[in-house]
Amino acid sequence: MSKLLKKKILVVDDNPGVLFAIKAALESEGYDVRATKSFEGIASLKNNLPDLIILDVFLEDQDGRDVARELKAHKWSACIPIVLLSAYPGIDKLATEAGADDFLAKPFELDTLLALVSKYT
Amino acid sequence: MCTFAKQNIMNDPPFSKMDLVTCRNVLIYLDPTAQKRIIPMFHFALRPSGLLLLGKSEGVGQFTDLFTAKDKTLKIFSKKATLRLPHFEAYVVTKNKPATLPGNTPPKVAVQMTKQEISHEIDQALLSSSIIPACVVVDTEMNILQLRGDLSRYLQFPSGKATWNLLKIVKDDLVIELQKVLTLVQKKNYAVVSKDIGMVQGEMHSTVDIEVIPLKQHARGEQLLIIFYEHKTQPHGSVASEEAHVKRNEDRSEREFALENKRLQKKLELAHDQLRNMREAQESANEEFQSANEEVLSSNEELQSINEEIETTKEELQSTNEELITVNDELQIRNVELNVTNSDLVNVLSNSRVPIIIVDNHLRIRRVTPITKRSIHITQLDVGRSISEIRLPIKFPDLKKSILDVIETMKPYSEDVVDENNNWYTLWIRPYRTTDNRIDGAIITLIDINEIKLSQIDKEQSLVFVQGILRTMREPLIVLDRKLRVRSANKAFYTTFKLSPEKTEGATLFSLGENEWDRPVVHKMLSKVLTLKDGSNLEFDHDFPRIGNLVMCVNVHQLVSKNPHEDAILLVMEDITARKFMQEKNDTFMSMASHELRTPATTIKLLAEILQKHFAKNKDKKLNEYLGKMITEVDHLAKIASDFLEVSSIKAGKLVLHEEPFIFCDLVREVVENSQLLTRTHEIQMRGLRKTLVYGDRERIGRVLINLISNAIKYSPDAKRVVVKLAHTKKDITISVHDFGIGIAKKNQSKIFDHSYQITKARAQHSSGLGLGLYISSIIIRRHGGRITVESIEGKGSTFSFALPKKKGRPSSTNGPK
Repeated sequence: MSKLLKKKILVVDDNPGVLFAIKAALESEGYDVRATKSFEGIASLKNNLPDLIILDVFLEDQDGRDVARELKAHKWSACIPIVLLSAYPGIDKLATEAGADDFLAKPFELDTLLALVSKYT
Repeated sequence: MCTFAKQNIMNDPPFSKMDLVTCRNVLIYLDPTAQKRIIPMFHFALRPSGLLLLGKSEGVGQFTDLFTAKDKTLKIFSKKATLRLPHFEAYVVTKNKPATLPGNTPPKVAVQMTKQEISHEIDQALLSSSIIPACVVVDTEMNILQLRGDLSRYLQFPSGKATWNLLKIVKDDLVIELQKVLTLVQKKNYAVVSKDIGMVQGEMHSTVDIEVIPLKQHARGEQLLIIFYEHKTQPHGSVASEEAHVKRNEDRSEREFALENKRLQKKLELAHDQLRNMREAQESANEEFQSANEEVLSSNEELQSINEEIETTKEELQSTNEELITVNDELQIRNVELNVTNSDLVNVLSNSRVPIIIVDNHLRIRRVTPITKRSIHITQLDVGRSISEIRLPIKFPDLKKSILDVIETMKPYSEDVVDENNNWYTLWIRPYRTTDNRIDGAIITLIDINEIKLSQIDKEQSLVFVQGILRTMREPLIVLDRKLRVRSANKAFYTTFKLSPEKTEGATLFSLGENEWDRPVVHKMLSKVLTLKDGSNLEFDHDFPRIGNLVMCVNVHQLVSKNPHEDAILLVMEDITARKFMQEKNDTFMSMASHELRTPATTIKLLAEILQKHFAKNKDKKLNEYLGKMITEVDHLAKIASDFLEVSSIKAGKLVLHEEPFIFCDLVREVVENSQLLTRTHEIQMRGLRKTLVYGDRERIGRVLINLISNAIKYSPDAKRVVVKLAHTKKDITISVHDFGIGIAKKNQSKIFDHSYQITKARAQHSSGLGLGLYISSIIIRRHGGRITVESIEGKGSTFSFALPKKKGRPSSTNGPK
């Protein structure tokens, strides 16, 4: 599959292990995964709009919820589905509050991840 | 029965068997003699128990043996039973004249004369008939009393009713003259003679002299003696010549005519005289009668008024008498009361368990109670001795002076004294007050206060003890009264809050330390405290300007005593600032640790699953098995991490339930189906599913059920099924999870819901968990107002059940949705 046809997924997590595993899981399914330690700003997306953003809540210097809110606030980025990710209980609530489309509680099953990703792409 | 009949009580025979005789205001018009006659008659007329009613001023007089007074004022008398028959005088029934009363003037003396009298009379007559002229003794009424001599020529009994009235039986020729003489005699009251009264008796013509002599008064009244003297008797005719006879006849007729004339003239004169006399007599009698009548009337009135006066006096006397009776009764009652009071007093004194000594003004013992002998060795024999002479077994420096002081000042005095045997008494000296408020000595009482004293000493000791405890206590303690004023505080309080006892005690709590307690948070805490009688672990967090931020944990206890002034609020505070800080740190750490643990678990799990997927087609069984095990253990790790987090939030009291109504059987079905997916060894059977709405935290209840089912599978490795059963009652719904596994020993059954429960070896072999699941489950169920239980037989299996109330209204939900 050419890179252009592949669905683009942005994964943001400050934990390199998780980042690596998710990237591995999704790439093995044929997604175009861009994994970053932190969100590089809304401007970084402009030229390369992802089909789905998987966002950890507690990042090193950022709050995933703020990022989600910012993304949902812009017209052009509001349509990008956002899945919030956290190991803290109550992630479901946090996600709803921040206006995210869905959530994933760590640890999650591979199948759950894949089902969720395929749902939004 | 009522009969109207006219009856003259004086003359007519009385009625008999009467129930009531009323005779009001009649007797007062009768003289005593008549009354005497009438009253026995009334007695006769009444039947036994008959009543007699008389007028106000009348009475039965001397006949108290016949009647008794029933009511003295109303004059009601009742008949007395008497054997005596009333003596009635013979009744003389006369039409015109009222019957003369016996005993006064006997009307028919001759009739009533006794035999003796008669014979005496005969004797006298025989003796005197030839000597004395014919004479007759009469009474003033002209009734003949005695006859003397030959009276046949002068008396002539008329036919008709027999009479002894001289005027009626004396010969007609003599009547006029006799009446004239009698009138003269009665007027002048000396003997009068009337001479030459012509009287024709057959052929004879005679002249008669009548002498009337008033006799001296007898017992029977005035009597008159009337004597008839006869002078000559001339025959009317004799044997003579015819001429002479004729002449004589002529002469005689002439003479007779003249004589007759003369006689008639005389008679006329006499009649005139008589008439005049009679008129005079009548007039004078009339006058006399009138005056007598007036006199009688006035005396009657006087009598009546006297009677009334007597009545009044009698009534007064009666009332005085009644008053006297009342006074007497009162006196008697008073006497009885005094007797009772006296015996009461004697009893009180002799039974009193309190030693009492009464002394007079000179301190001489007047009275003691028997008990004094035992406690202070004063007996009845000491009565009369001065109390200062007696050595008392109590330690009291100057009893004499104290008693005299009390008598002087009249102020009671008391002191606690101890005797030789170390018994404590309160010695009271009180003035002895007589009933007329005079001070006459003193009363000394000894009240045994040994027990009180001992308990007081005990109390003092325990107070010292308590104070010691408070002093050594590390926690600040403060005692407030109802108005939140500080009653006392311990040393730790002063140290902790940097206060001095002088500025604290008596001040209100809010004014302490420059009003630094007067803050909303303290007010809030206190208002919460005051609603509780007993409370513990009430936290409050306050920034004290002088001390800094303190987090205090307060225990409160309210002492409610009978006297509201003694109510106390005990506040014990614990400075938990440091602990709180540590706890918060700990919570953060737990949360962080849990998060940190789960993050790598996520990585491992994901990678393992990718690998598993990757090698799914690979025939290397071991690889797949190992990967599977890895995933399970990673899940377990994640679970332990979340259990830790849950427990730490429970411990910190931060467990928040997200409650909402949900259909319980749907949750059960969901959980069972999911659990079924995770096991290949066991079949999970469901029974008794029924649609029921339950209010609660669906996710957490689901987790409890998952926990129970996974435990059931875990601890029944050799069994093939697990039974999940639902049971409904009106109030709640019960779900039980039944396994056929190893079971739990009886002694451990009660402990398995404790978080500190250390799993047995048997369990440990099959489990790698920390055993927190059941602890968390029990907390969750309890928070829902439900209960969780276990029944188990070792080697046979266990049944874990929990019941949830169907309706909302449990006590625990503090953070439920609004």
